Amino acid sequence: MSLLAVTAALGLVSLPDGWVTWRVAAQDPTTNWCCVTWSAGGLVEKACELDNKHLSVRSDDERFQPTGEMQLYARIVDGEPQKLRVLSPQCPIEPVADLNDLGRIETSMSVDWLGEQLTRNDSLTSDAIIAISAHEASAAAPMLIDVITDRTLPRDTRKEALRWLIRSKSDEAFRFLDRLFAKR
Amino acid sequence: MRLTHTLAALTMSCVICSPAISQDEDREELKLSAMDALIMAPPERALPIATRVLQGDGSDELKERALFILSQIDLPGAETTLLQVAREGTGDVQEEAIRMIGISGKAELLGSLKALYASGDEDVKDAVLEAYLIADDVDAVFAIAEKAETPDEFGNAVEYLGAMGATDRLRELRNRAGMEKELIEAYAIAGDVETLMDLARDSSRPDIQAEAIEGLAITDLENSQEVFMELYRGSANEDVREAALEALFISDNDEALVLLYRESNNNNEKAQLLEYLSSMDSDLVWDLIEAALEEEE
Repeated sequence: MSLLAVTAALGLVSLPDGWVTWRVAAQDPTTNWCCVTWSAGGLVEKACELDNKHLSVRSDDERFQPTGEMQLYARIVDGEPQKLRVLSPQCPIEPVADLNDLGRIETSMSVDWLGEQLTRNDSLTSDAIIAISAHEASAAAPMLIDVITDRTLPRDTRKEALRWLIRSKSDEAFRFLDRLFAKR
Repeated sequence: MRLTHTLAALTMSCVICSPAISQDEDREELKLSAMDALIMAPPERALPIATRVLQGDGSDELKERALFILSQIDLPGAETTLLQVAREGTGDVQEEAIRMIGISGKAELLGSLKALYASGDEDVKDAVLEAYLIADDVDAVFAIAEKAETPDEFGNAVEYLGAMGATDRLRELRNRAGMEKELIEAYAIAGDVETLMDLARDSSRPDIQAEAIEGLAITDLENSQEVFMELYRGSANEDVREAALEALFISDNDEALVLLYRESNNNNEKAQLLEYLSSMDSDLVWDLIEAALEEEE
């Protein structure tokens, strides 16, 4: 079931244009991903501008209690995603006029939908991999492993997936890596 | 004399030169070219011109080129002027005069740098060390290192000794208390594998041990894979182990990182090893992935 199916279940014909957001279980429930900016030589927290091309995000914002969830944002144009953002749910964002909140959805649905974007839109590849890796490991790791072992994908995409799989330090990741590095 | 005429003729011709270049820029360009050409002139002709330039209000660049001419002239007047600018000049011109004393390689002039070092500011001290490096005067740099009182001054001097490949002299300084880190850097620059190995195997001071391992990583160490793996396995100190991994990373030993991964039973350690492999952009990792995929097919 893809996000499209979710939107259908919510009574929407397709993903509406504008920003769409949804929540999922996080890979690391102890982190807070919020926006920052450089000011007077230091990092200062700020509300996230979703449309900003270069969003600076830190994962250790201490202003909020982590909720164990991640908030995903997708900018939809003509039914297709053009931008992806991953933040913690409690992080403030600059108001956007056309934000549709799908609420919390199944992690696997979100991961599957993001996985689809890897082959559909080159400009979203990197953001999609980061977004996938932010989901709880039981759903994220199998998708990242699929990307790593998919020879039809560009090597750079597979490398990025490997980097994020390693960072997850999940049991799923190590099972794969142990098998990979086992003596032959 | 011929050169002076050439300069005058070229300066006059500038009046009709391209309007895109300002008259001042053009004149400066001509002066610089003429100064460069002085190297071909008889020394007794070139000396008064170069001296006049140094006494005038020309650009620093012009004066720096005049200093080079002086460094190549074997006449007492040239030495006197060079030394005078080195002592009384300011900024870039003074520093260049000091360096030119190094290029001249003249013992008497080099001897005068000692006093300049003692009284000079940081830039002057640097220029003096550079002059000694150019002249390959190891003894002079060693004397500065011996007398240095601060880690910065000592570190600077031993770095030059390292660049000069003065391994024996650096070893003489090995027992300077509180200066171990500066020395390790110098040993690494000098490529002194023997001393670095000694320090890398000495577990009595893990901070020094770790520095020495990182120093070894930039030398032409033979069997680096075995050495760094042995140091990694042989230490329980986190900094030392991290330094050994860093050394494997710097020396591009991806095979060793895979071997260590296979030995490990700790997921945090495995993740750390893999982070290094991933940062190395190792082909080996992809060979393993492709081989695993082929096996499955």
